[in-house]
Amino acid sequence: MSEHFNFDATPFNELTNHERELFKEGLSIGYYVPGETLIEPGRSSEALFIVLKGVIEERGKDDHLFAHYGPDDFFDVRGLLSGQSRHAYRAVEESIVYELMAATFHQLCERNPAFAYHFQADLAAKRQLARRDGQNLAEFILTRIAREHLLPAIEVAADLSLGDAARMQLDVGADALLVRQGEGFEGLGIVTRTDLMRAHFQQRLGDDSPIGPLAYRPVAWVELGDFLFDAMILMTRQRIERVAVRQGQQVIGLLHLTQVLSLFSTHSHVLALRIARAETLDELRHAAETLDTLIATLEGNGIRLRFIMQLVSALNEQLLAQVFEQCVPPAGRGRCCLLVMGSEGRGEQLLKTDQDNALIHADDVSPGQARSWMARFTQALEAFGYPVCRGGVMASRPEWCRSLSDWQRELRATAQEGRPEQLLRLSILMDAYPVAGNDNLYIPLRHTLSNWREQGERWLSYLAAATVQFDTPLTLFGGLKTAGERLDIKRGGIFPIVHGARVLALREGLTERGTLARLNALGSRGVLDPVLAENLSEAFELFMQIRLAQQLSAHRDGLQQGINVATLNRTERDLLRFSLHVVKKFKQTLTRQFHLDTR
Amino acid sequence: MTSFVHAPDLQWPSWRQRLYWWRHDPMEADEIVSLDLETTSLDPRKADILSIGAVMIRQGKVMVGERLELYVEPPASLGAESIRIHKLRRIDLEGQLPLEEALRQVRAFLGNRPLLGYYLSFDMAVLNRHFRRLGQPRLKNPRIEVSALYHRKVSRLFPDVHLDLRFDTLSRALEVPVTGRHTALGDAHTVSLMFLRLRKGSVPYPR
Repeated sequence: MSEHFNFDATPFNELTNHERELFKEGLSIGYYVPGETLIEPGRSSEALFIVLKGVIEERGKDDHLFAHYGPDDFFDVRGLLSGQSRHAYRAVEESIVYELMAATFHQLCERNPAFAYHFQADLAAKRQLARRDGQNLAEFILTRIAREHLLPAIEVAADLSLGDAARMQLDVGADALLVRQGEGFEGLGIVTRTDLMRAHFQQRLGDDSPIGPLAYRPVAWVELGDFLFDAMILMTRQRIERVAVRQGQQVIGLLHLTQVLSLFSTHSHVLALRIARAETLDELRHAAETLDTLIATLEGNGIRLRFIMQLVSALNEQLLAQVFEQCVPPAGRGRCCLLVMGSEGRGEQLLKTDQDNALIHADDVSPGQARSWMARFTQALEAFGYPVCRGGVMASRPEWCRSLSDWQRELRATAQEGRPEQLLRLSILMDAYPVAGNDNLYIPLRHTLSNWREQGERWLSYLAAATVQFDTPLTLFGGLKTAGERLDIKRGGIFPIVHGARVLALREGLTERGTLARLNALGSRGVLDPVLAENLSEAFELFMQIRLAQQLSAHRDGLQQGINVATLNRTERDLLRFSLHVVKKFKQTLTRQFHLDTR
Repeated sequence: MTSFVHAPDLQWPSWRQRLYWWRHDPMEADEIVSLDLETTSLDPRKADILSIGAVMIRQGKVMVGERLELYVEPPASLGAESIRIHKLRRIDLEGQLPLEEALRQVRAFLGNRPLLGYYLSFDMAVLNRHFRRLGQPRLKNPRIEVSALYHRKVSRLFPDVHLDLRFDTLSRALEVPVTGRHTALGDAHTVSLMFLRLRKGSVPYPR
């Protein structure tokens, strides 16, 4: 017999074959005409309803519409678990609905915890559940030990005094020394920081006693090019934290446990080191290319998006700072400050989009000089795969490369005149964050920005109006509205949250960086309802994550807009719908706070 | 919600049962069984039963769990012509239930509930022919013919239309998902969904 019920959908695929038979025993199919009530409020729930065809609506006591349920959706889980449903469920269209008897449902929940968990979990837990399991473990296991993983190995003579050895360790930042006691590799012993400490404090050895007797032999070692996994097993077996890495008979470095662990979580640590150590633009470019892979790995490992964003921003900043140093002569570095803006400035950069940056230079640097530095900088970034900003928000343009007093004059003029292009520039500048050069140039500008509303309060509603210019992609009935198959999540979801938080931050004079931090601050100050602020953060993260996942699966340019709703599964669609409702509510709050409906 | 009609007592004399169903609409019965057969031929005088499928409809809901799906030992008349339709080969049916046992189970499942089907008269004729051959009483259950129901509903609104009553047309017009076409249980299932739609839903637009 062919399968009538689709067991492939999320919670039902947890059931074993035997449980599926049980499931079918308790299953029936009902047919409902428009207006017919499936569940009365206040009555005990007799069944779990799973929509096969048609639309069912959920209404509260005062006839307030809560949700629509379409094919593959199920309800009313809360009613089943609490024994009484609170809302009324009515058919909107003619609907065919599967009904699973409550007794069978509870029986299955008892038998199968994974199945039950899907129903008992709340929204946040559901998101956890929907995340995929780690998939890049293989990458770690198959990574080979390379030179960039290693700490330098410092070889000392056996008669070196303890004091000198300790000072040497401190100077070089090394964490262990190799002590030469005889010929070849076998003649080497190892002295770690802990050994030195113990010698000094426990055994009371003086500064000038020789290091030789402390050395531990033989030193555990692996070959360069071995699998990292081997090193890890060796460390676990011998309960040690470092192994020497050899090439032939030559020790070329030490591999530390933290290094291995950071590789295990991802390659982030190494990437940061590579950026920091890079001396030429070419080396930097290679590091920059790894960044996208890193993001994909992190996403695949189910790391929370706000941590990915933090990490990627940190790496990006390092990268930009390095490029800046390559392009600006040392004498100039102290007299100007590079700002990043847009998503990078907010610390929400994921995939490379375009260059959004500006420069503050000291008043004694000539504008032409500063612009020539920035022209090199822009070119270098372009070579790295950061496309030129289409809006011209780049430090190589005169309007984004100004002296500090010029910037402040510009802000004052904005507060007085409030021309649209000035306001646009202001809202871009709100996200600015210094990444390289002299921070002291940025602090006065930040100060001016946080006090800006004292003069410019009347323009705030103009700024806020942009928040509501795009419709939330929800239908009249609260379902997802798509253009074709695509749903423009940037305009419909991300932009309102980001811009709304930005304008509110400007009004409140907040100095927090990033949308999530701003929302948090707004919530704790009582500007936004704390629950709304919390939900907005979750929604924002969800939008970013969905967008990232789709960008990664398509092509990695970060510029293509719109997500394909058809590729999302039911849980994700549910979450998306819920989040868009939150955005809608936020827009209403903004409309009220800035009196946008009277403009 | 309409109140449902209980089936009459099985022990009643047949005239009294018939009177009962004359006074009550079989469509409103508490329990209805949707029935379908797969046979070797479309001639009720020659057709042999291969498979029997039945689904219970209780109080206006298709009970997916309460179903009957029987396969019968291959009869001699099983030929290539019909295999192409129902895809039951001789080898698939080897070692299945003997016909007599299958018919006993069917009778127990049906009881005296009203029967629902698509071209039910054919299935009933085939079943009754086999019952007669085995010397058992024929099935006297009231019948609900889904295509007649469809015809009645639609022609009331569109009296002049020429109605296509083929199974696939019906399922399309009634917007009912088809699962397992040309299997006894699958067809019985689809027919029961058609019935639910016809009993309660709006008048379908004929296609």
